[in-house]
Amino acid sequence: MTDISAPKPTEVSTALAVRDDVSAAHAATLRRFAEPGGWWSAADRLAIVREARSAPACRLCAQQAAALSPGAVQGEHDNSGVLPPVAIEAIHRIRNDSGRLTRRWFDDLIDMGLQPQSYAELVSIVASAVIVDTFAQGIGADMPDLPDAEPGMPSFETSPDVVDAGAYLPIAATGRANILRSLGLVPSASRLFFETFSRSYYIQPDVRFAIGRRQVELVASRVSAVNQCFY
Amino acid sequence: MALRESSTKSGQAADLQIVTGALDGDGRDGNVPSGGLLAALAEAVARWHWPEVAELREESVQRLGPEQTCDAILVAAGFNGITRVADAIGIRLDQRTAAASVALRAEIGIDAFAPAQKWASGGA
Repeated sequence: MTDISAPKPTEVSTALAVRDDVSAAHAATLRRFAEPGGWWSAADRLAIVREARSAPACRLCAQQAAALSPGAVQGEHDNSGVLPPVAIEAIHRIRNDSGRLTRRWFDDLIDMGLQPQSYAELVSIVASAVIVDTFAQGIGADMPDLPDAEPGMPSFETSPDVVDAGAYLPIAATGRANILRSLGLVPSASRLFFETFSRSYYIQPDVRFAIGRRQVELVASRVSAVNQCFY
Repeated sequence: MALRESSTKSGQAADLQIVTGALDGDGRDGNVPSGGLLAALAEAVARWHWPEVAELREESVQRLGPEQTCDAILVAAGFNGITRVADAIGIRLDQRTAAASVALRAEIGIDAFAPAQKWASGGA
């Protein structure tokens, strides 16, 4: 008799070991999720992460993914009911179908009452959660537990040092590349994301990989292509 | 863009078709060491196809080693996040990068991912 509880030959029973700097960076991200942010409370930020984690099972998102245009399928996203519908829409589309986001879609979110700064922070949280969770699952581990929410109010910060560079939001006035400037409207949101991302690419001079530069660039390029990201 | 730059510096140009998947299944590495395996692993991670990731991870550990495999997954995870930032903020390509990469972008067909409606406002 086959023991159905035994690991299949293709399954890895233990996760790969992770470098200390990567573990520390991702642990810091998890802690920051549980702190009050620029425009969302700690409880809201954790709810955004949980919603991003559950979004892959959303039936509406599956129908939209199969449609020629996501706007052709209307309905309600499967959700926990904790966050407002405009935030649910943003989280699900960013998590599940980011390659087909448009200016009109973004404008609709703003018309529905979402503040641009709240949107910037939501983008940062969802994308940071995608990194931490994708990495954990990719190496064969479970998605990490989330801390309890810390008390406090959002800071309602808005950077004055931004410019219109043709993006949906104003971006930081200065910086090496537009992607590094992209979340500059809310500096804490920018720090959250890029400190999470910093272990995944040559952003900081101390970053080293056990694979070669060409291999790193191949992996990065292939993921960008899969996600239909022109940038 | 950086793939071509790093390949040129190494003296052996990468076959950029490996980025778009045109070489999948034919056993070629696109002039990148273990390129076929890494491209497949990157795609499986990006699509969150965990059973496929588990198979490719095992193969990668055997061929490249655990640290190398972990780093490949780390890079893939990072770009799964940063592509979402780029798309959700609707950032434009930097002028300098755009000017330097006209031919390359045409070669790998990446401009198809930036249709005009991505930035069009108004209307339905």
